[in-house]
Amino acid sequence: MSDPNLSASQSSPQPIHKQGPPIGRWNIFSLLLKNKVLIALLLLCVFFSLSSEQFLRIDNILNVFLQSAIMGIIAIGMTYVVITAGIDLGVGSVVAVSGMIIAGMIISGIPVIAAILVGLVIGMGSGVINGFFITRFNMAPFIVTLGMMAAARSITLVYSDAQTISVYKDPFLQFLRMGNVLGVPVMILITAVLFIIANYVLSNTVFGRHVYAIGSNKKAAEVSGINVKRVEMMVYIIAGVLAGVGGLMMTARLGSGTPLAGVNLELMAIAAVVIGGSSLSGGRGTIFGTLIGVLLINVLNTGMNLMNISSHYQGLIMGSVILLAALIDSLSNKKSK
Amino acid sequence: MMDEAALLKMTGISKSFLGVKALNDVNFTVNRGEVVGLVGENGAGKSTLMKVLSGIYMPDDGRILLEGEPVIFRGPRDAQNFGISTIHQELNLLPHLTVAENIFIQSLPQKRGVLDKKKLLKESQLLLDDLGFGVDPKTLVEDLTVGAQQMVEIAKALSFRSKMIIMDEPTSAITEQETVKLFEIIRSLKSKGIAIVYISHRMEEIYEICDRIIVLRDGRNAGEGLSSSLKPKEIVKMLVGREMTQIFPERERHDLDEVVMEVRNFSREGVFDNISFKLYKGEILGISGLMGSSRTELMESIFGLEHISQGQLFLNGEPVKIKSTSDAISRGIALVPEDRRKHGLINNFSVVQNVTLTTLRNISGFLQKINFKKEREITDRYIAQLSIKTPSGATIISNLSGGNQQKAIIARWLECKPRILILDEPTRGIDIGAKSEIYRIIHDLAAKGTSIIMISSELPEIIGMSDRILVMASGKITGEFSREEATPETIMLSATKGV
Repeated sequence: MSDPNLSASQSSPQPIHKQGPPIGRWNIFSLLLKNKVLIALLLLCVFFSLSSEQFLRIDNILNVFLQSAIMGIIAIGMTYVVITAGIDLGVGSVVAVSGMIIAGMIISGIPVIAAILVGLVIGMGSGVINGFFITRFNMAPFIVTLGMMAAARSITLVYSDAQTISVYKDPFLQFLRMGNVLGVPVMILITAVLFIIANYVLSNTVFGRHVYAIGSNKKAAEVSGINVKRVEMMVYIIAGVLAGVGGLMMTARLGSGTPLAGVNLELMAIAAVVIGGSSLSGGRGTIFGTLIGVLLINVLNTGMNLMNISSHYQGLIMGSVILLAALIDSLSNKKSK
Repeated sequence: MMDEAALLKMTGISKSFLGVKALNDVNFTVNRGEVVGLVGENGAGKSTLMKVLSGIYMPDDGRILLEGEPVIFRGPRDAQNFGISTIHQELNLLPHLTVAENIFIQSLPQKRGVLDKKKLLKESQLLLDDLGFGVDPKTLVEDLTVGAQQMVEIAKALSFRSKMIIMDEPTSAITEQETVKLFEIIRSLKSKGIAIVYISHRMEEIYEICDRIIVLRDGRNAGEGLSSSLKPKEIVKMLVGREMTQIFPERERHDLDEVVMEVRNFSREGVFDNISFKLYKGEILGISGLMGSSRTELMESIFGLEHISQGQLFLNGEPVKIKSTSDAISRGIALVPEDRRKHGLINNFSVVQNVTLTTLRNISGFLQKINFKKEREITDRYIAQLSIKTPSGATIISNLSGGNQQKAIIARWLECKPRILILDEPTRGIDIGAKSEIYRIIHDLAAKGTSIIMISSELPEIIGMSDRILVMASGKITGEFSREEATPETIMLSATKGV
């Protein structure tokens, strides 16, 4: 009877992906709104480069990207999950378990490629288990992946007897840790490639479109012939495999499998995804936004260290930034509704 | 004479939503201890009128006199304080709380800031005894049947010392015995001077329980009378009496020979029972029936959205099993759902993205890459063909009007090139201009050989569009009419048969 959607002119444009056709009318305000996180990131960089001369040095910049690599890979998977209105709390622990098992297998003499494959399969398996319980029994992703978080961490501790397994001398892992191509560290390269692929898939393929559709209206997606369960399964598998990749990178970076690797990583990834403009209620988000979110968190971290801000205060500042980002997002959404 | 005794007198009530008049100069009077039946087709304004009466909507115009005093309800609480309670079709109880807690939820007795359980139990027991309703007030509401929950709602209404209780389709979800019990209670309330407004589609019930019947049509009073003197035929006439306007395309008669789909003995426990029918090539098959007749559920079962417990489906003579919506789509069946918002629209998608949602695979190439250009071309074609009014295909669909949203959803399903197109209330909530365009689209499709099933609650629409009409009531087919046989009266009689 009444139709609240008639008010066309007052809603601000909300593109769901940047490759899509230009949407709505543009003005400076909406352009700023759309890129508010990017602007925040730039302002932060300006601030830190003014307050510390080391900030703009090439090694520091590379360091920021290196810091961002593992969190970024995890955040890619998280973006897919979050856009379907899900969440994956298990990825931090899966990073630990696959990283640890890769280290353990290398130590026991298994070829490094085989060890890495096993690590990735473990990541994938965790995704299959999450996806199975979520799609088959309609369980809440929060609870299923919370279970995965506890279980995977526990398996890591059992497998390693809570010890660190050092694989510092493995040549392939050394290459991952220190190698570079044309001056760009391998880890940054891998992460960049993953971001490009993930962005392409999400914004250009049928699968990506289905991910958005499910997140914004699951029932309508089902009525429209989309195999909702399969797409949901896929996003948890993607998150799991990427957690496996994260585990490999973690072990390479630290030179060892450590039982406490990736603690809180899932939470930082969620923060990055949300700062990057994804909505936890689904249907909205971009890989580009997530990249900005990850960089923002790591610029803040590095910058605070450079300024010698006590680590006791860093959490407070980080928390405020996350809250602020979510607040701005929530306010600008309200405006568009 | 009646006016002097009137408990409630509403005069000249009007209410519009975005320029559409839902109520137009409606008068409504209820006397003390009277049971008034409120009757009307879907969209006739019953619910809006009751929402005005229960304080949910403020009327644009008109007066409400309660016991001779003018009153203004600014919210549901206001209406309640004046002694008007509403029992909605979807009950408003808290399932995890007890019967007693539910009854007094708005004024839980307290002693020094703590819930006074003794008093709560004692008072609710009193109320329940008064109603003759034997349930332990400590029972959790979720453990009760819908009928029993309704009694709790009535007890709750009485706890506010209501002078008047509005019951919206109270028997739609309860058993026959529970209905008998409900009627006993209504009679006893009546003897205590409490007035009841009884909204129902079921003619037999209206006659059994109501003293007076008021009919609404298109947001206006269509007539009223005492149930002792008003004949069912007269009511039906008041219900449907509008002129058939020329908004339906001329339909040429054609032969129904080739069966494209046959539904045989479809049953789902408690929903629909032993449904069989055939659908012919190029036919528009109208499905009529009141809310709760399970028309939508039947169609969702054919489309693979819901399961059936029994039955077979034949497409072109071949038995098929449809397990999912994608199954149905690949077999050439499409469904334009009843609830556009919940089952159709992807709200933050553009028009293009909404239109191509089901057929993306057809326009994607290597590695499922979507062909954005083709996507736009397809949509532009539909924008022209269905005259979808939108600034461009890139506009977010929620910025379009209801009618244009509906056309975009129809475009989504046309792009599947279905052989069988099921439309569930295709013109609900859209304006008359868009309606007649949608009729033309449906008509053209059928003329080109697509078989159409159209569910509609609007009788003129069903009669104006269909080659053949099936009427459903309570999960059964209760009538079948050819285009020539169908009249509003015969359909209404079938739709209220046996319920």
